[in-house]
Amino acid sequence: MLKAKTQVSLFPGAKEIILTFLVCVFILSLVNIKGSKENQSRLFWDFHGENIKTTPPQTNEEKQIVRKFKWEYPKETKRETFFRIPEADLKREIKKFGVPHGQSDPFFLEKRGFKLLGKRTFMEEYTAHEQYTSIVDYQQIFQRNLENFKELTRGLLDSADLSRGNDPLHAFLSFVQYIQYKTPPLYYKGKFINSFFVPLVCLYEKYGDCDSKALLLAEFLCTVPGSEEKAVMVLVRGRGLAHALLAVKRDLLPGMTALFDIKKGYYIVLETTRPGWAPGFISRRITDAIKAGLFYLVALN
Amino acid sequence: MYETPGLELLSTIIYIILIFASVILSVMGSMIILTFLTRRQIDVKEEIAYNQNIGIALVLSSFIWTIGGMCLESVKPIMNEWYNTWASGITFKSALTFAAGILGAMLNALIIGAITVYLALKILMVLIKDIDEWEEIKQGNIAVAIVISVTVIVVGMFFESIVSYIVINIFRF
Repeated sequence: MLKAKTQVSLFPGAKEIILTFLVCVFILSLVNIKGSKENQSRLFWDFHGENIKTTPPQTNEEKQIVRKFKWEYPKETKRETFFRIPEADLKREIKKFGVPHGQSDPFFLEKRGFKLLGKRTFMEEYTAHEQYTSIVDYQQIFQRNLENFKELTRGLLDSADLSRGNDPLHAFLSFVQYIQYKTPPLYYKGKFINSFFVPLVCLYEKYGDCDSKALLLAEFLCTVPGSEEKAVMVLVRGRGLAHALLAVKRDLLPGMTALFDIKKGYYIVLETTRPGWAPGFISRRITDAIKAGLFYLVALN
Repeated sequence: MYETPGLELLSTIIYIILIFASVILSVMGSMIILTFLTRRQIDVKEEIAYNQNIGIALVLSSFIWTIGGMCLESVKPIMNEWYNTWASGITFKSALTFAAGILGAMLNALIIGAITVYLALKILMVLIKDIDEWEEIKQGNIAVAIVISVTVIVVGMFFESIVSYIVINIFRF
């Protein structure tokens, strides 16, 4: 009687599938790297550029990045503020926001700091395509950063010579206005960030655009000890404008521009892009766009 | 800024003063400009009060509308500067600078208003060469008065937007 020794596999063809999968992964990684030269440099996390001062290791072995800001408040009173940004917090923030190139999975987008506004299905060359419209999830980023900003806000309060009980609104607005206005890149550290810097990165890079600076101001205002600040982001779209403002709950003084909510009251608008605008004052073009109702509100808290 | 007592009251007073100044400046400025443009051939007060000339009234109204709009455009930037000055602390020097700024801003509104009105009329007069507009208006031609008024208001609407930017720069200077 012949005894044949046969190997029985539970999953026939498993080897081929695994091999094919590995080859696919290899090809995809090659395409991703060779796709653009910029991507190669973005793959590295470099926190040791020319202008970065890192403080000596702290007791808890936590590295900090020092950033110096020059600003004026009140007029013609020059100030300097130093921020010590914990490197670990900064890395965590960069990791949590932004999606890799070409990634458009809605679940992934929502997980990485974007908010889905809608979906569009369209046909192109007999193939159905889906396109998701998303914006930065300001509320999620704002809430997540509150803890990171408690210490930084204390530093800003000290440098602005504000005592307890003083309203820091004008001083903080002035500080943010003096940060350089520059649009962040679409891709940062190899990830799509839709030209938005999360507040910690805005401080780290020492520049930002309207929405980056507005959210940074919101973080500062809402982390003042004992603060009960209510803030909303005002996204102005239309008439050739794409702008973002911050609005905070305050009493309306003569001449100011404000948004009125029947339940919450007046929210005065804050222009963060350049120095000189007092709280409640914005340019005529933006006022006209707001009056025409061309804005979208995002409640932060 | 907000915790300072008296800010709201003082700001309201300044705001009201500015509005009144705008009204006075636009009415007086319009009358002076109209008298100057007609080369003193038309006595504005007499034409409106005694002759009840609707044409002159229409043209004067359009001048008031245009210059008034320009003055009101200057109010917001002035208030913006007021809050910035308040935050810095009011000193004699800062109060003086602020007052000079207000004067400059209002004069700027008046000058731009006058230029706008003059430009609008010049355009119209170049386009319609055969008619002596002022003579027609004096004789009670309302049609000509309506055309002049509308031209002045429309040209003024375009120029209004630049006034606030100039005022902001006056205070920065």
